[in-house]
Amino acid sequence: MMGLDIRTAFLIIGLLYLLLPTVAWLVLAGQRTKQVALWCGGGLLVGGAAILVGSRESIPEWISISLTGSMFRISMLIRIQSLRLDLGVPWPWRWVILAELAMFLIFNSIHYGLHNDVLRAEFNSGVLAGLLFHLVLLAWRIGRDEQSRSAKWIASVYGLVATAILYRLFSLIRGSGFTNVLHEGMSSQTLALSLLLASIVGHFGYVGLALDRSMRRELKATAEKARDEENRRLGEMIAHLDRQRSLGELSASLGHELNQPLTAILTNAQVAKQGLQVGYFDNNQLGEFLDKIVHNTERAGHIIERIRGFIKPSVSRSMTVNLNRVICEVAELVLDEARRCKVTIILPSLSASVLVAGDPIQLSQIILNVLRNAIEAVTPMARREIQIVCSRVKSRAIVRIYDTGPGLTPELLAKAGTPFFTTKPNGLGLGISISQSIAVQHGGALTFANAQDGSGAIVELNLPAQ
Amino acid sequence: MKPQTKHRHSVTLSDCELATRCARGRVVIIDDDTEILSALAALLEFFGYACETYSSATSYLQVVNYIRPLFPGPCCILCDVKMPELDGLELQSRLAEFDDIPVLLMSGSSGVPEAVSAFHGGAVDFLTKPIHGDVLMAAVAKALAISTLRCNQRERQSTLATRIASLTERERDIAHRAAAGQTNPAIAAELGIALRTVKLHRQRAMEKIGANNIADLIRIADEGKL
Repeated sequence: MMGLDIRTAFLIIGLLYLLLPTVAWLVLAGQRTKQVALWCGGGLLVGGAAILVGSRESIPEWISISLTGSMFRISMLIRIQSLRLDLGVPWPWRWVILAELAMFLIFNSIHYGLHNDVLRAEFNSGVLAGLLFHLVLLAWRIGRDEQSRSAKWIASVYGLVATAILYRLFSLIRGSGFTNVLHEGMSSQTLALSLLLASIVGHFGYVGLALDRSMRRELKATAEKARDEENRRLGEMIAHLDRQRSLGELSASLGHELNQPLTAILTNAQVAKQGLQVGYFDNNQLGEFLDKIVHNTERAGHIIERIRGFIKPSVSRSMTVNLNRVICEVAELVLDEARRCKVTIILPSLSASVLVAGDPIQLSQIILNVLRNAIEAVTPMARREIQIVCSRVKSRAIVRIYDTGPGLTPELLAKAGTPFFTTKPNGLGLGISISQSIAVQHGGALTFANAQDGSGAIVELNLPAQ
Repeated sequence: MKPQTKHRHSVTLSDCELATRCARGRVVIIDDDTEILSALAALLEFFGYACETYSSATSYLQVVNYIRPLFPGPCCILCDVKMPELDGLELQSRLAEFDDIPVLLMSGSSGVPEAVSAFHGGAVDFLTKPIHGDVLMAAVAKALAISTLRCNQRERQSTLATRIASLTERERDIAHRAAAGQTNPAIAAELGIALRTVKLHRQRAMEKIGANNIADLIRIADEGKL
């Protein structure tokens, strides 16, 4: 049975326990958490205690017995706490300290009061075995929850140590063991061997576990980022489709809107041409006709520019936007529809500017959706008026759209903005929900309410002002 | 062309020109787009018509009810369908209540329902913007021709009415019976008067209403509600 010199073995174990936690600490430089610190700290304590045990014969008894006993127990306790923190079920520190104090008192009263070395060794072995089995249980749970083989290795190797200590406990109880752990014997040999194994496997296992975790975290973060990106892209696509749909629905009235300048251009050109053939006009008069043609061409170009600007598939960009300008430009798109439905739209003055940071196309989409709903709401009424007010209140830019429609029923108020909820026979029910998500993306909100005096609905777009 | 309040005013060269234009035709243009309004007016004036422009149907309705001195001549309305407040179709139906002025409607979008209701309302033509000059001129000429026709008809009817009014009770009765196909002896027997008297009254009545023969008499009796 002289396979291993126990004293040397304990010294080697001590050195390993000092070295390996330090190595683990250095390796895990990127992901040092409280749990890692506790685990490595516990390892160092074990290392210190093992060296003290190994050099038991040349140091005072209170150090080699009392202090090392406490060091072993405390190291187990803080390693348990490290794993419990990982699992999210930590013990209150107060209890940990009280438990150690209680065990310290029992241990020392057995040793110094009863002078019963066997009982002391039995007590110590029992406590350590209990703590180790708890540690094994926790490590196994982590291994199962996170499907980590490293954690299961930790559990196995500490299970081995715990079994070795239990074996020692039974030897002591049977009377075949020695109270001094350094005494060459079967139980001490097994213990030393298992500790040696635990020092190596335990630490590498822990490093593996931590690396596993960080890799999983990174994977998860990447997946989340990809999902966010996908959501954003889809959102942009939906918003773009909604704009296309709006314009599609407006196309008839936009066609009429375009026809006006074209009519003026054609008529002016014909007058000029006819006049030119018979020499009816002088140069000044002809110049006037040409000026009118130029002016109306610009008018038509302006309308087309609006349409193109609105339909352009845009990757959302952030820039300083004057809300008043956005409102007036959008109003141009619905001008003809409003005229057909005989709705008066009162716009904010273009001279004032209310600035926000955002995507001009997406913001105009909100206004267009709200305006078109408002036009539809007021059309059956006797008084058909829509008023848009844009103002800045403290750090918020607020656009309010008042209409003289019938207002919103409580059911509508509750459901407005729910995707696919619509009151229109051939509506998709996405306009308002898209508008609301655009508002939220801009750090704002789009809310619906009824006027206090029951004179219609009020839609409010609230954005952070610049 | 402004409504003139003075009873007398000196005739100027522009009045003469306007009178000539009005004799050719007066076109009332109504469109809420001022650019189109001025362009159409320029085109029509170039072709020698007189133009009145209004930027809304209501502003025209305000003026149309005033009795204002106008140079004689045919007249028509060229009106946009889509306008705020009162649109072209509504204007047409309101005008129909008191005026038989021919209406030309124009629209930016060639909506079939719009066109159908325009024709139902009695529009002379329905033009789609942008309107080609030739098409516009043809439509305006047609509308003005209808206006002339209606004007002539009105005139004839009013002269006819004064002529009929100049008949005595007996002459009207006998002319009526003659137009209805009764022979002179039958009329004499029915009224209990001499055949000669019937012939005399009939002769006078035909002279007064300007009928040369029995066919004329029947036509006038139909038209003038003898």
